[in-house]
Amino acid sequence: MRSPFIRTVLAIAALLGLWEAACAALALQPSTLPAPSDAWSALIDAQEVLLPALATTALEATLGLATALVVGTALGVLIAVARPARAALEPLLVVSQTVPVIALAPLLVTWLGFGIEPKIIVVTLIAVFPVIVAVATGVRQADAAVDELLRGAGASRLRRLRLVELPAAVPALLSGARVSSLLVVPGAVAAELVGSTDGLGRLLLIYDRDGRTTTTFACVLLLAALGLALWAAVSALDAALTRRGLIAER
Amino acid sequence: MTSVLRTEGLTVLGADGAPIIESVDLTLRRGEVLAILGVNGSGKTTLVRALAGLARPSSGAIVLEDGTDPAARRHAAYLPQLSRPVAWRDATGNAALPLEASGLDRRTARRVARQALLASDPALLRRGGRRGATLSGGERQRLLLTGVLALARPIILLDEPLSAVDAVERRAAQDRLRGFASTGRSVVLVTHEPTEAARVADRILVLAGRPGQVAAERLPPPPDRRDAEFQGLLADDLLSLLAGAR
Repeated sequence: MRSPFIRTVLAIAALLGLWEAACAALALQPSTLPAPSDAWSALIDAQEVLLPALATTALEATLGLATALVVGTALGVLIAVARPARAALEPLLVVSQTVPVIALAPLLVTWLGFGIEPKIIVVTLIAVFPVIVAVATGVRQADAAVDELLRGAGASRLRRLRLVELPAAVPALLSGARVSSLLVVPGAVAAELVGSTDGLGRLLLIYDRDGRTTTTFACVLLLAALGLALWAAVSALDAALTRRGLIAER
Repeated sequence: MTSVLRTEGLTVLGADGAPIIESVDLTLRRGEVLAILGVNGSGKTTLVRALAGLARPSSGAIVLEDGTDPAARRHAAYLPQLSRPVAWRDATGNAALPLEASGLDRRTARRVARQALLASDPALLRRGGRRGATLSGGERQRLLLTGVLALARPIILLDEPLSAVDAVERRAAQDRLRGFASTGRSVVLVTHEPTEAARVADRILVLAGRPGQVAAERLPPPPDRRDAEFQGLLADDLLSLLAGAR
């Protein structure tokens, strides 16, 4: 169970090593492409600025992901069980995916200000779609024979949902959550680039404008680590539930 | 014997609008095992789903002698044909599923399921904590059968309940069905096995044709007065009915 995680860490370490070696071999200036060790030094030097900004971005990404999971589960269930809801919501959801969410970010800033609220909304809008699709599919894939058994025993719609359809959709929900967990950090940064007073996205803008390439890369490393941590957390939850037999292996 | 359920000219249409069963008249009596025998595609499952209140008749009627509406689904304990186990529940939880569906809370349903397993299939109770994903198809059938039979309902509708169960447990389960009938409950047993029908059923209906109709009825002497030789002859007779009805 742990080996995929270890393999991921090893692959990242190998990539960083290669990057370090290439910078040294090609004698690149840090202002062109800093080596990972340069970025790490910059991270340590600027940690008093970077870490609070990381905390802000992490909060936006996590709250956005959590909101997307709750809203996505609710909408996914609704689409799966209520035909009128499906007819009404499906076209809207498809259209919503053709609009670049980031185009809405300036509007959200106008409405809600420079705080974390518009960022959470942008992150939610980006992360919710995979969850909706996964949950709707998962609920519909519940075993038809078991559904017959419950209906034959006189179970209400709500009871059937609680006893079989929702538990059956948990593996799909976790698959959707894994996809979404990879979208939320880029989403939060993109929202910060549009207008913010805090967060790593705002620092990226400032450092880039000032030509502080090394510190810019320190931000990028932190963002990559944050994204990886969120993905690993969702994957670990998935693995733990599968190991205990609470959800079926896929 | 008094009847508990009867159908009058029961016709059920499929999704394509063509009838799957047509003009089926049957009577289920109190305390009997009624076997419904038929080849694949003869409408056995559709008939038993209609009796369970799950398939709406396009014409004809299902009449419960106590006057209740079959669509309310409080009259029968129904076990559909099953495929996969419910992975996230343990063995006891699988047996408790029909009880929870009928309205019992989780804890009560588990307690009743455990008692039913203890009384009827204690070998399974020893596997009570195992997850559904690790149970075999036959174990799963036995668990849900036990759970369905634990529903205190006068009519028991079973759709090929023993198809995946091994020979030893199948015989034990057949004897259990006879036991339920002797306490006054009525069992409809859908099967495609003539030997099973010849061993346990009080009466046997053969469903045949497309759409399925009652092609023959057999009313042999009571099961406890049929010896092995008679059972063999009856099974041969039923097999030839099935073969002729194809």
